[in-house]
Amino acid sequence: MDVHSLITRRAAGLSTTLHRVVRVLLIDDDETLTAPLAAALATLGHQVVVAADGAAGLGGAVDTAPEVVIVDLGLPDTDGVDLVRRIREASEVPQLVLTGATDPARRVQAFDAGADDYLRKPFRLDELDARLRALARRPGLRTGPGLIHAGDLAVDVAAKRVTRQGEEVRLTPIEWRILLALASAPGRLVSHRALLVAGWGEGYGDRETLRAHVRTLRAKIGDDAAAARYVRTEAGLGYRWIGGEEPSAARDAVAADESSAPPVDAAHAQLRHDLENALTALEVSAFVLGPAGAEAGVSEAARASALKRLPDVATRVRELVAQLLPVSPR
Amino acid sequence: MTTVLVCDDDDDIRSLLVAILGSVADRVVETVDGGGALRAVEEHRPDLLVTDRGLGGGIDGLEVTRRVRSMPSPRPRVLLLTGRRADEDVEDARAAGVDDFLGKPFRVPELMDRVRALLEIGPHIG
Repeated sequence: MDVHSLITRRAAGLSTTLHRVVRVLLIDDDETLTAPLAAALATLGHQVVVAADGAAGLGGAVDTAPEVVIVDLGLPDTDGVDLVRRIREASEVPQLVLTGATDPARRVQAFDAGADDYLRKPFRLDELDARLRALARRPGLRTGPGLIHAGDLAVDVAAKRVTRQGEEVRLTPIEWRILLALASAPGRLVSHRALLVAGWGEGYGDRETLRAHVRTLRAKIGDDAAAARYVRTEAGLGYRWIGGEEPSAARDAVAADESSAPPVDAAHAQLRHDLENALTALEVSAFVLGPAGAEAGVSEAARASALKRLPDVATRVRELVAQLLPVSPR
Repeated sequence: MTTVLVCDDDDDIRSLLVAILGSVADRVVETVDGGGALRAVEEHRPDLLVTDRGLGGGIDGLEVTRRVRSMPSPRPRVLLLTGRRADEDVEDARAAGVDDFLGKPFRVPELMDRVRALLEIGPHIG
């Protein structure tokens, strides 16, 4: 086992008592990925079901009641984007897609089909873990037939009427369609393109116009982009309805969940922080000095500087690992 | 012209970030602490602020984000780099106005993807 894996396992062991358990459905045919990934997620305390193909994944998304579905877009027997769409038609479960090479168009397609978040392979386990927990914590809406309640807002779908604290909110038709597209998909990321289609129709509108309408809509429903209660901006991707979530209440709930967790040793926490920084420096150094750095256009001067610093960076990692994992006496 | 401001008190990470982000932005400005970040935002009007959460000097990355959010438009997007990934930490970052976050240690392609996405959307206006 390499040092990095050892550290990950060590960190995972520390984290188990602090993290929320998430029921995860992992849809991927590559056993060399699914076996260690499922084991690693289980180590973090999550419950993982693996589906090896699209058909099993689609069934599992309904039958196993996952809190989050992970879909590899590179499935050989199924179009990953189509699978995301079919799961979305069958379920409101949050979906995180794993993408391969840089392919922004493919990612946008996945979001249009109903994906909520993405990670590019290879990814870090703790990055995936954090995003799974964030997706699983999405707030629900209290809904009745044709009526959506969220915070101070009531949206009567049939009557096309919105009230805020009982007072009618007057929306333009476009604002209404944007609001409906968002509030009908609580917790899900709705892409710019999907909102443009909802507001103006296929082929019309642009992001700047959309941004202006969302800004006006927020003002009318009493929302603030910097401290969103209803519409959260997902940079570069779209918007997400968070339905009147009260951050402080959510924090209280998390705190209550974790009230029985033992306190993390302060010195150990500092050591972890230092090690995370040292590993970050090592990771970025490897990129800068490798072919990917040259390909990305990193300058020769920057590469020379990184090379000069590399021994110190490696020493930092070695010393911190020695502190975290002392050698046992033989 | 796109400008990225990098704020990290770790010299190794900061200099490396400046090196790699120079390939996706026209200009990269760096600073080591929160106070410097706030001054640099006013002086250089960056499109994106990439900041560590834990900074020396009494103003951490979240406080920098809050203060930047109250500045006149256009305000930079904020990408927070953090090792603190418990649920309430993510919640705090969102509440402070962070646009995206990435855990340390991160994969460089993941960082580059998210930086490109934030530069594409441009600064907060209005």
